[in-house]
Amino acid sequence: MAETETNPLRRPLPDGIVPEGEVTRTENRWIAIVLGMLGVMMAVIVVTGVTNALHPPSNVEIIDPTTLHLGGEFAESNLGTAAEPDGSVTVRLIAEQYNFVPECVRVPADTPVKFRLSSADVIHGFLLVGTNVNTMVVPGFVAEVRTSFNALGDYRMPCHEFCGVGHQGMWAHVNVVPKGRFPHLSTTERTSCVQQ
Amino acid sequence: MARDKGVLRLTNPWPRFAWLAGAAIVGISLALGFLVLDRYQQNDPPLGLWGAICWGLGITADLGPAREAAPTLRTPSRIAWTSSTLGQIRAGDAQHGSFIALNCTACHGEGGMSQSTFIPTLTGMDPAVIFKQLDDYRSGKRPWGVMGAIAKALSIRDSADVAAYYAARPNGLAAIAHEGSLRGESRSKESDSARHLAFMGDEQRGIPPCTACHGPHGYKIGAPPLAGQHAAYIERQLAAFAQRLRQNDINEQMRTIAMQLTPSEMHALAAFYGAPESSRVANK
Ligand code: HEC
Ligand code: HEC
Ligand SMILES: [Cu+2]
Repeated sequence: MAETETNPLRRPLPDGIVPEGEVTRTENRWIAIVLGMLGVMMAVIVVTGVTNALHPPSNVEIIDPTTLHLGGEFAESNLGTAAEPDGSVTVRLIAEQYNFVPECVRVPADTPVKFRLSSADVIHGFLLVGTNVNTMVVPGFVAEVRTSFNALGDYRMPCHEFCGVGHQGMWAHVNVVPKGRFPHLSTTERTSCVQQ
Repeated sequence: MARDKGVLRLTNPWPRFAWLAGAAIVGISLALGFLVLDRYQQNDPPLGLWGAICWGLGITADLGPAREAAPTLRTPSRIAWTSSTLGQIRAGDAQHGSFIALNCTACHGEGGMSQSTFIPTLTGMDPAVIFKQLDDYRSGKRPWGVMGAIAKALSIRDSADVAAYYAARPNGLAAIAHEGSLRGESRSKESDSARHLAFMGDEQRGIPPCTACHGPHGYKIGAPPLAGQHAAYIERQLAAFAQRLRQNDINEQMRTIAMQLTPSEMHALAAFYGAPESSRVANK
């Protein structure tokens, strides 16, 4: 009789078993720490996203990958760097197995640059080391990245999305020149640094 | 203790807390993702509220491509590998093609096995290649006087038929590749470097391996077989791509590569791929 009335927890515990109240307190402490860590990580993502202008590419413009060369924005006569009336430049590239076209693009330093890319076949990647430029180039869509370069020089851009047996040969260059050395382009001129 | 009191009971505050926390995370993420982060477009003024929401959803009608003036349109070819083009090629009738091919024998040889080093062998070539090249000659995208005139005399149907005929001929380019130079021992240092370019490419210069598109490692539609083709013809085509005398490759696939090759590399590659003299005689 007396045995059924006593709360089993009230009995003196054997050595090595922690009382439940203690367990709960420890659990709550760790939950708080985990939530704190999550908060810090989210804050880091938000702050770097805003300050370094890192965005998931959210451009949803569609385009037919099989007919890029027949006309429109990615016809071969329209590829390369174009000067905009507002002083910025737009660079248009095609990514295809196993080249970027044009494989060398020239842009002025300290100028807003907009890259617009499309793929003619499979998924490729476009990455400029040391900048915020990093996007996938998905066939059927136009990828758009905005940046500006303050360091002069030659940036090598690898395709960073495995695209087939020739993938390792898929490299191109972005050549950043001082503003004054960038050619003055009329609205219908395009430039690149492919040696002809 | 939450678990003792029953998760679904209203008197238990923990489930309510969990739901609220979940809702708060979703709400904060939506607000951050749609209203805060994507407002800031680098190089452009921040977007308005609706602009930001639309941008986040991928609706970019107001931003779209810049509609600036474009240079005069130049296209490499009229052919695109759409399903209707592929359908036209598949419909080719080799039987009818064999009659059309009678007009080609004088130059391209019996059954397409050309005896002249400047005229390409057509035997065993992919029908898509023949079909596209004929259309490029017809439209003047690949300039070559005689072939232009001949192609103009052929209808689209005729080109598909003659393509089917040559593609089906036995002992053609692919067969030569089997017994030819691709497998043989390398004969010199020069052919070693050609072999390297063909199979490995040159990463440093951004040259992919030829075998990735021309086979056997990979096949890109429209890429002609090289092994067994006449060396002089291959070399002349590479030089033409490099000097932009030939500009009919879609999206500059071959021009981008050929421009990086030195004349001696072109020569070595042509010799490497070119049909060995013996097999050409044997097929006479
Ligand atoms: C007068 C000689 C001559 C005749 C006849 C001729 N060809 Fe040609 N063909 C050539 C030459 C020369 C070339 C290479 C031209 C060049 O370098 O662009 C060529 C190239 C081609 C090519 C491109 C092959 C490649 O590897 O890119 C095709 C396809 C072709 N001919 C098909 C035909 C067909 C089909 C006929 C018959 C209806 C025909 N030719 C009749 C001389 C001829
Ligand atoms: C990215 C794929 C690709 C790679 C890599 C490539 N080619 Fe090509 N090549 C093509 C395509 C596609 C064509 C057909 C172009 C056209 O439509 O006229 C072609 C055409 C050619 C021709 C003309 C053949 C003919 O019969 O007219 C030669 C020669 C050639 N390639 C040589 C090479 C060599 C040598 C290499 C390696 C250094 C190479 N290619 C690498 C895709 C490729
Ligand atoms: Cu790639």
